Amino acid sequence: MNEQTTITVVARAHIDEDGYLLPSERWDTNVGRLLARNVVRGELTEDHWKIVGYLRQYYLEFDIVPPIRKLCRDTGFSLSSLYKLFPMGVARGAGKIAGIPSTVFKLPQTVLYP
Amino acid sequence: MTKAATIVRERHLGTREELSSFLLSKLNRNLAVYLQTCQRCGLCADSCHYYRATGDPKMIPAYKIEQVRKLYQRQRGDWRRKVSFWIHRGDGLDEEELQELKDVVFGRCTMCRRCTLTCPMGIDTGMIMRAARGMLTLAHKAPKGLQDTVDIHVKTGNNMGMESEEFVETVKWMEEELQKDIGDPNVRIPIDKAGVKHLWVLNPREVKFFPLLLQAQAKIFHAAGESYTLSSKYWDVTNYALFNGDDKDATTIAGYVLGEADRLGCDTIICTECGHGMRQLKYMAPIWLKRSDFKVRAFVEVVADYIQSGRIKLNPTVNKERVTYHDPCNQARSGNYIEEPRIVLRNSVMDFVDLTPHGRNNFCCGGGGGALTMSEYRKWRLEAAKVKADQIKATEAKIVATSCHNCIDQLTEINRHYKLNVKVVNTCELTADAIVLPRRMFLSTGAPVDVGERGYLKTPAVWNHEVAQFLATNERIGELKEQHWQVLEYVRDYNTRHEAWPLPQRIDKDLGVNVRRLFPGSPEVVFKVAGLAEPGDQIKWHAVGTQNN
Repeated sequence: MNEQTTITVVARAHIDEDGYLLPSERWDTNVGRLLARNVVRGELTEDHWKIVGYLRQYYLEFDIVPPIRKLCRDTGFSLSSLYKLFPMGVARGAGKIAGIPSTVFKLPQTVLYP
Repeated sequence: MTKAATIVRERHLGTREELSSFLLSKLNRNLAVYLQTCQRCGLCADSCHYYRATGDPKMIPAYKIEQVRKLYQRQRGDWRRKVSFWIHRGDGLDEEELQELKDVVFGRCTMCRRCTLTCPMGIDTGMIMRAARGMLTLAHKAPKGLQDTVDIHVKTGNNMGMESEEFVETVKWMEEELQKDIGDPNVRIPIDKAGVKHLWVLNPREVKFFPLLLQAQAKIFHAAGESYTLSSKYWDVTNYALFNGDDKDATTIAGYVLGEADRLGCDTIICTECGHGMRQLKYMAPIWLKRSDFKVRAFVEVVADYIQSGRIKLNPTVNKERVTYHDPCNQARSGNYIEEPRIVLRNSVMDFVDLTPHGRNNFCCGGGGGALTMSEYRKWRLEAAKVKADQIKATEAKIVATSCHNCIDQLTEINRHYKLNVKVVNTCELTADAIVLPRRMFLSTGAPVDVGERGYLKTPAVWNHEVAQFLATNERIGELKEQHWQVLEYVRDYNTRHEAWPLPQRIDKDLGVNVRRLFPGSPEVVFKVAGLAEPGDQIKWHAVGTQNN
């Protein structure tokens, strides 16, 4: 009871009202874990990280998010298993954790299910 | 809902005379009686979710009807065919008055007709609002979002302007996912298949944003062995011209689907879970298109039928959380589908509760009448939805199921706005999760053992002990033991000799067993397991004590 607990600040991030990372912030896996806590989930498994990593990579390269079908094909997950991993939807779940700003999801060519 | 590009469609702007004659053309006997009979008794007030949420007397249905009534004039004790404003004022309704009328008929009424139930005269507010909406549409005053939806639909055949290629690709993708899900590479979601009984029509929301719903519905069809097809050209059952009052566009849009039904030779159309889509196709299309040689069934009706006739088997224990059902206005109050969704849900989930009130008296979610396309009225729509939010909170349900896509959209927004923390789902999702698929057995040649709808072996020649065990498991009988085999051999022998079925009493007597206990269920079960062919109209029993004995 009298032990001193040390709190280590691993990551800090500024988010907007919906929980998306602001565009000016830097992202790394610790920030990702922080954002995941907002999305209210237990532990992030390897499958989660695979999808998040793919999304982040695609976004850094092309500035948009991939269409949902491409995501399924390239990561090898079926749509129903994606929904089981991210029950709130891929954009709100994986997209948030990947630190992609919310403006990207509002673009008309985004076919990543909300 | 953001649209990528607004398709501009050339539409005629109605002149003063045309608007006047439009209103007169709407003045049939029903409308005349309704406009004349309203006594402003105010009983409708408490039934309208707009009034209950805001307490504003301008939201009372009688007040809203009065705004439309003012356009007509009564002359000399009976409804002569005159329209007042056009006569007495030099330039008709001015901009401000048209805007006010627009706010009333588009922004403050979802045409849910709950007030019609409460009104002692049964005045159909929805019909009155639609007449005024039609006039405003002709005057190019309909809300832009709504009019764009109609224009896109008329031009491209679906209300999201989706290309046929994209549609077919999405369906093929879901077919692959379904094959993986079930583990059967032969499952198909047929497109443009001619000569089948049912045409399946969809809501573009499913195709664009929630294709898993397509997979769920196709899974249910597959489990029931249904014969159906999609159309690659006109597959959209929605009709937003129902909401903007334009009969010409409504006729065009409804004609698209019926044209496909004709082309593919389907006499029955199964509508996906879309409230107004079902209603416009079932009740309004016969009036617009002047034909009634087609049948329309809602998806919940079809699934309830499957459940009651035993065509699908469900295991409700997969859905453990508390579920409540929101009756869409167009399905329950205006469509009479009240028992069917409850049959479906009670068999698909463990804990089901009803809203209060429910069924015919259910409150509108607030998203009806095309309200979701009208961005200018978003604030009022969410305000009026407080009634629905309170209803949901009172049940303490974790999941809200409904059978209408507009309701799903609205309920999802209400969920976020009022922080209800519920999950909003379609009934087909819950059913598809609970489905127990019939087991398939494959012979050593690789051919599947085909069991028909009623459980009879389609190819009696392949019967052997393994097949018999498979059939028995299908009929929920355990392992077949010595007494079972005795009975089965007896039955087969008898059938070969006399070409008829032995009566169960006869089997009991001759073998000293109790067939009912060995093969529980309907009396036909023992004959199914014995691999006899499916009887035609009448089972040919071999009567005990007849001359053939």
